[in-house]
Amino acid sequence: MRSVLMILVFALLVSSPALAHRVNIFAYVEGGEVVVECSFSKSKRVRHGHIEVRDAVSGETLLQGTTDAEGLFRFPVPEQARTSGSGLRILLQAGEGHQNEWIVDAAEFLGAPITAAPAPSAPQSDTAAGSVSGGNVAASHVPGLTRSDVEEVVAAALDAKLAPIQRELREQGLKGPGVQEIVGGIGWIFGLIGVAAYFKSRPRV
Amino acid sequence: MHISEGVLSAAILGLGAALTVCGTAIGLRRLDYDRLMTVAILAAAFFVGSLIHIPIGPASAHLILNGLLGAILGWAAFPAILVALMLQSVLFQYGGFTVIGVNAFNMAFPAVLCFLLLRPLLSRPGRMRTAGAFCCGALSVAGAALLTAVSLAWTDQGFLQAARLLFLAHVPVMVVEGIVTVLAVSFLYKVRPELLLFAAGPEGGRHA
Repeated sequence: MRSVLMILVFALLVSSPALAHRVNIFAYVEGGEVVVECSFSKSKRVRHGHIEVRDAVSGETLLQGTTDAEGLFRFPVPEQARTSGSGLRILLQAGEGHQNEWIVDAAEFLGAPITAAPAPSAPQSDTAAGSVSGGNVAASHVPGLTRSDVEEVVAAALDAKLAPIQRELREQGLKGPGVQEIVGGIGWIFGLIGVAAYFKSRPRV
Repeated sequence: MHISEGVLSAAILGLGAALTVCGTAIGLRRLDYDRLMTVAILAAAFFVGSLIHIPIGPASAHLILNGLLGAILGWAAFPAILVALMLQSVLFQYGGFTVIGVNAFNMAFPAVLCFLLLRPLLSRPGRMRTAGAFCCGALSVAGAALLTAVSLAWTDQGFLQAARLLFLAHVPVMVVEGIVTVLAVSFLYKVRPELLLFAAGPEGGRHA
């Protein structure tokens, strides 16, 4: 028995924890559109997962779609969500009983500029954001800058700057269970069995 | 094979929970004091086993080890799997709390069924036992995949597609678990035959 356990523990240590029992979803607002990232683990993306975007308050389905080969799905912030001011509830169904959801708070997109959706299959979000800010900087030389112009430039620059932080946050969510959880769980099992043993033991005379 | 929260309908969740309660009750009634530690060790093995991935084939799947629990514990596999799944859902966020009943039944029932059907084979010495243990390990995984597909039959995905995907992903797991079960059973038979429920003896007979 002990050797079986040792083999298990060893196999656990050598195998990288890629988790197919949980599906991860992460969404953020980038320049007027919402980007949804879906993955099973750091390297394994959800391809062709079904996405449903709902109003977080009323539960009404606003739009649907499927993720691309990189597990990404982009959509412009729906008009209805802007007017109603409630957040978006994004539901991911990845098949075989895998499902997860993410809520985008209304505050995240209400400040974002209303832009026509850029190329939907832009492979790198950074380059897209970079080009947007570049174009706006060039335009800022023109006198008569309105408040919304400035807001747009700042929003685009912030999106570009915050992208690495968002990535960091996202990857934290993808972390599998650590040693603490594993050891803790085993401790719980033995503790519970201890309780069972106490109640099952016959009183000694 | 952990079904997530919010996928299944209330009727299936209730049915799964009821069946798991029955199985666990039978398991606890047949469990006696001397075997509690075996149950604990195997529940821990099941708890950790889900973290081990088999990267063979198109889809990677993780070990389940339900066949091993069935072969060694018999009906007591129900409480062991239930406890391990609860902790997995609380600590690892695998599956969901309301789905525990369905998930536990899907994994424990095939294991117990394999144990009951294969016990004549397992209690014979030599090659028969090896074959029995391999089948117990492999068929329990196949049964779990089948039951999971059945649970998903009333969702958008439908039974056939879910069953096809689950079976394909779990073929390597079946082979590995068959081998693990053979190794564990033959090792235990050599060093601690009294741990094995099916082994000949007064204890094995009493639990029949």
